[in-house]
Amino acid sequence: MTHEDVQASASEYLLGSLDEVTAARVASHLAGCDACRDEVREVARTLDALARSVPEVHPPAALRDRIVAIPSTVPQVAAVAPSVAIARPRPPRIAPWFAAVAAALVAAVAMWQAASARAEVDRLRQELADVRSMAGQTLVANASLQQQVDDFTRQTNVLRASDLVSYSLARQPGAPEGVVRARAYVTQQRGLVFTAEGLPTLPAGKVYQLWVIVDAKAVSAGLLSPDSAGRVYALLTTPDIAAMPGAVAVTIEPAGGLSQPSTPPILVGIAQQ
Amino acid sequence: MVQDGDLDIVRRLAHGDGAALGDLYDRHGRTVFALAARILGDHGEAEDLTQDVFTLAWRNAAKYDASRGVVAAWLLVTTRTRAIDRLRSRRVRPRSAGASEILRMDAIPDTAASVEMIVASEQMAARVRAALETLPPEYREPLNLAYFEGLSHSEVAERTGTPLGTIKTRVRSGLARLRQAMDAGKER
Repeated sequence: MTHEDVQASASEYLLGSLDEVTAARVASHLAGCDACRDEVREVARTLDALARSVPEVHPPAALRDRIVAIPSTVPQVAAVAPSVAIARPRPPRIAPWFAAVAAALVAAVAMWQAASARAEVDRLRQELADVRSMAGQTLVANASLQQQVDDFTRQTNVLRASDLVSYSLARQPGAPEGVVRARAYVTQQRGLVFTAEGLPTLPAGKVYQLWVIVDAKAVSAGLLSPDSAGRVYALLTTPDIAAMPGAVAVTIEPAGGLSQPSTPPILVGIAQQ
Repeated sequence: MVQDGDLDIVRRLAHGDGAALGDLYDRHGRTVFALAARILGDHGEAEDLTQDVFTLAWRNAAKYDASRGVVAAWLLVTTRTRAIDRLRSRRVRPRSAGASEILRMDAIPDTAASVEMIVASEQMAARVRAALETLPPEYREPLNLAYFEGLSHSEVAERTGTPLGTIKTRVRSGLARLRQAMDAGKER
């Protein structure tokens, strides 16, 4: 994308009305361009002012009571990331395939389907609307329903994040038969959504582990548990990384996972340009 | 600076200090509520939305990264995003006949915010309102549709029967003019 393209899309980008692919491209450009980031910041400042120019209306005092009651009923989300304890890194026993992956295109990467990504976001929004209308618009006492609402909200938030980068993962040679397709959506702040279909059930003692590749290093993003139909829909915390991953990968590891991959990947996806 | 005070509050929130949420609300609750009310056109829904936004602030305080943006701006962006989401789910599922459309006029105003913050915020609001008034309607309308109704440029073009290229130019120029007017006003 040219600087002009990026600056021309600044308002749509900030207002969340760009499609996921274009938004990811803009985010990617902004990560490395001070001039465009400054311009986007100025547009953001103007939009912020627009938000403050609305007619003045006063909330009732009772609303404050509801707000101050929140901490006693709502748990906080911890800052910490990894679901696998990161041991002191040991030198890899196998050649680091992930360095090569980050540096070169993988021949079998599936083409990005912008339309199906949008359909997925719409589907999530619809599910969220359904769950919310079931629960009414009030806080729900039923913990599992509230958890569902929170999960859907977080998933939608990931997909709407301005720094969203998407990855379409492809099955690697030597991977188990039947792995059909997988996608990852990564944001720095709001977490990571990973979806896959067709993951075969693993023998006892083995688990699927998700990795993000940053600067040719693999960082664990967590373990995956497909259902009996081989589908995974996971919302994970983004590991503490300095930059958006160049690639995302899945390996099969011993139960409990490892701090570094010990086998070549079965699925790999490069960040969409 | 507003942001310094807000950072203190977020730090306290991240450490589980529940009282800090009341402080955050005192500083920004009115702006959040007013924006929600403007987008949703209903005070009851605006209250619910305000509660959602402050709930998110509480839940995720530990994940806040100051280098990513100003707290006050985050609150308003979150408010707008969620309000637009609600608007959209209304379009998908029309509200039931019982839903309240009437803005509640009998609300007792909340007076806990500090005088200085209210004055500064009102001055800014006045400047922007004045600047908006100087914008010709064909520039103001696309901006309002995009911001307060969450329409993409294509949707604005369709709604107004104006070519997409014209809409893009007008939104961009409108924002630039607004920015100039805001900054010019400040220097006085």
